[in-house]
Amino acid sequence: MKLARWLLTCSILLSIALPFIPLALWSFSERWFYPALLPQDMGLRAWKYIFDTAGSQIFSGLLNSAILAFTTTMVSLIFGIPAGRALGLYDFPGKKLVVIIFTLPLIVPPLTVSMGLHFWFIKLSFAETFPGIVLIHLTFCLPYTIFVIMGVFTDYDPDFEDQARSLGASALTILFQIVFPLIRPGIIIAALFSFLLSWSQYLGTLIIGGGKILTLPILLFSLMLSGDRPVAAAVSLIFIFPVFIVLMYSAHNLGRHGNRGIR
Amino acid sequence: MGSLQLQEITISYGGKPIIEKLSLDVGDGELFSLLGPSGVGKTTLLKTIAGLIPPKSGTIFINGIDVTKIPAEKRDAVLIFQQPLLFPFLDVGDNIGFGLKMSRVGRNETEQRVKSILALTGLQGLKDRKVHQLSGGQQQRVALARGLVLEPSILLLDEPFSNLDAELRLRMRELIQEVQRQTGTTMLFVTHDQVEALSISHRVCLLLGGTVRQTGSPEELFNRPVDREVASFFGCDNLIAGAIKNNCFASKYLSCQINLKDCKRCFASIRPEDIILSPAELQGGIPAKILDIRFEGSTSRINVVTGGQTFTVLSKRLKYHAGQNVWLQFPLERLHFITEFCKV
Repeated sequence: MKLARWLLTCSILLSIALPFIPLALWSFSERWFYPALLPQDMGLRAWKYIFDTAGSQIFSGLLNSAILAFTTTMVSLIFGIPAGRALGLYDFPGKKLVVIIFTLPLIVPPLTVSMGLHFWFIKLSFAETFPGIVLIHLTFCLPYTIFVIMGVFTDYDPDFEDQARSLGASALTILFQIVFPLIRPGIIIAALFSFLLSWSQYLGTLIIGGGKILTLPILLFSLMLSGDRPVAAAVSLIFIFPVFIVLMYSAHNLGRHGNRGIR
Repeated sequence: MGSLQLQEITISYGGKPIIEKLSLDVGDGELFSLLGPSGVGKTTLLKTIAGLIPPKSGTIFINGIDVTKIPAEKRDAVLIFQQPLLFPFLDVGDNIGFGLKMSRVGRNETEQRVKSILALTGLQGLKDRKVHQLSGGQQQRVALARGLVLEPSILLLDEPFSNLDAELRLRMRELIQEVQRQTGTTMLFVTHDQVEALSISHRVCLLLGGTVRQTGSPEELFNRPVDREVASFFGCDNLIAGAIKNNCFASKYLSCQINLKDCKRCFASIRPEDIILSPAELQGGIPAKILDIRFEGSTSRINVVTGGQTFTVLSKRLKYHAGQNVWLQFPLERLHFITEFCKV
């Protein structure tokens, strides 16, 4: 029994770590040519480059990405929660059409969406601005948020709100002390989705931002194109690290929250 | 403590009227039941009284004050739903204290009041439990405590026991009566279960087809229904059509002296358990034939036919069989006269 458990844990850890091993190896390599299985020379050149030479650039990219992803997440929650609630709880004429329209940006290739909107963004002078990039990220993040929240509200009893009202709670109190706690897991998942989508968004940022706003994915691509693989690998790891931490933390919390009834 | 008056309340949903011109008067400290079949709009009416649904027309008075325009959160009436609806992210104590927190009652007083209500509802020692650790009956008691702790003028209860099993329901009925006796809270209790309504209430109001049919003591409604539908609702379908003339009721099956005004069309009703059934000839009895028998435990429901009309009889005797010839007797003191078609 113990052995089986140990094996399971190991295989899970290995399957999570496996994709990162080549990245780690690349980031520490000085010389690695075919057909060698491992780098011929190991060193810290790539990491030194990132933290010294390109340190400020990487840091500002990290910061840009974080601010952008955070803003996008907040905006998509602000609009997504009411929209998801309306779609999940109520029946109204044209509901199916609304759902289809919301799915469109997910079905149509991102390139098409970004290119199409670029023209309008230039006209509305949104191009190459921070709000413009937030808007283009929202075209992908908002539908996800709406669908996650909609799912939560299809299995939601609005009588909880009436009960709270009858017990003397005002509308605002109900929103913050009843509705949000009740749909907390849904909000966390929607926020995660939204954050990750925005964090890893490349095409939209490039087209609308026009390279003016340097996020981490943009930096990563330019490094990859420059052919310096160790540096690209190191940046990739930095790119993944914060997301990985956030994901693990929330998965841990969500699991505990969701399992409360069982434990 | 409080009283409730409804004046010509009309409630419509999606353009269709559910409740029409309903008037009701619940006295201070009364346990009043609103009885009616499912889908008659009882829940809607309670939500309207609680302020969660606006009425189309009419006025609601609590303690003589017009509260029709006062929002639910400020109204001195608390609604307890069919489901316990306990907030899963709060423990039992915080659930019960929720309303007190909303009305900004101090921490010490809240603790005190929660403690005494826990004792009153038999929930001692469960204050720190999580909601999901409670049984169905306990959850419903917490829901009751959560409303009671606010000491509202009116406590509105929407079939709070309908999701519990039979034995638990009996215990909850006793609890409600006990709590009502001790606190003197005016309670408006909605149910579709006539036994429940009859057993716990001071007064019962029967709601059929969106209007009040009869209001009175449980005994009154059960034994003296005003019309045939009310009689039928309480399981009395034995109606004998006849006429009253010169203080005498005359019909195909029986005639007797009564003290009522002349009427060309009226009905004598008799409850199934009051009809005397005998396999041997009864003096003044009516010969009849058994159609079918349904065994129901302590009694059997026997349908008999005589002179083209079917009567339902509840009998404790088991030795009857379908097709048997029997004799019926209608004890005159058990007859109730329905005079809905008579001129007053």
